[in-house]
Amino acid sequence: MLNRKKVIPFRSGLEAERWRFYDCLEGRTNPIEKWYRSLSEDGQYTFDALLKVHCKANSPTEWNSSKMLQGECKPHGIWEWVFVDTGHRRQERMLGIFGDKRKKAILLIGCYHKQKRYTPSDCLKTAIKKAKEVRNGTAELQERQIPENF
Amino acid sequence: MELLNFKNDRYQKISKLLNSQKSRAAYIQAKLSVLVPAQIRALRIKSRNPVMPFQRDLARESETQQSRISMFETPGMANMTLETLSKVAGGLRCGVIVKFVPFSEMLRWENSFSPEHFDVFPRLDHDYGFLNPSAASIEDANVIESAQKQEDWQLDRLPPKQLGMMDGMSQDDEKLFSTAAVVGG
Repeated sequence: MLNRKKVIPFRSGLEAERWRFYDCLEGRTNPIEKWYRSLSEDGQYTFDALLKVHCKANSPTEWNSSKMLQGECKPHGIWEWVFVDTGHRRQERMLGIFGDKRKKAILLIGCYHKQKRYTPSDCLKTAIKKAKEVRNGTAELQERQIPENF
Repeated sequence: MELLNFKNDRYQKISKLLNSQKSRAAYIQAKLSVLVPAQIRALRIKSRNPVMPFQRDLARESETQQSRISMFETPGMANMTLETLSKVAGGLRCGVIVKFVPFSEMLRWENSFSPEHFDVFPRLDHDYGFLNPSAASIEDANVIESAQKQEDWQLDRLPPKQLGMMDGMSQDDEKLFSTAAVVGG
């Protein structure tokens, strides 16, 4: 209004495209949501906060305490996030893969890790199976809502 | 339907926060346990003097072990005390403010936090406001003065409504004034 020039707003980092996370479903059930509900209240809040921070990262290298899994998971590009559920006093892990589009990630399975063992013990195999389904296009996905106002 | 569940979920959580101290503490701890490690990691990676691409670099600067830094960068892994926080901040060459705030402010800060853009600048080596406050204050005064001039110039060009001059006017006067302001630039 002052100088009547068309202003093209500069896209700040906060308005940049965000990561979108998708739960990998099993039939009609959502195992990621089931895992989330099994966390303590502290754990649920922590996972929510983690998603909020991770969705704003420009590159996955900015994700805290995340790493690509080695061994049998490596060819499938499976990564894991690590955080501690202080309520249950155990390390929770979320296994996932990158999607077919930019800034799209698929959450395959949630589990916990204690004394070098994953629980459920077959979670790596399940993650590989699901990763294959996602790549084949046979897996059903549901976008995870990230609570911006909580 | 999904959105409705999402909203109901929020109401339940809010009601829990209102009624239970334990919930409030858990909520605050969860935010801290994610945001503090995220800040440490972002600051370590962005550090230029010295460069700290690896956790062992920060461990060396903070006079602690790499395994401790790994714990500090993992959400919820380390129960950080103010002492350890100070140690890490010292290694990163920046200060820390621990401040009690309303929940809304905490949420706003969390929403605005982005690991990509978060940095502390300047670090101590270039923090002339701290290292040489008298020189910095003269510079600050110049900046404030020029900003004030700029503001005054902008205020001269602002329409009266934005200057709060229209409180006692009728709607017609208001319209007329707004039009005049637009036409006049």
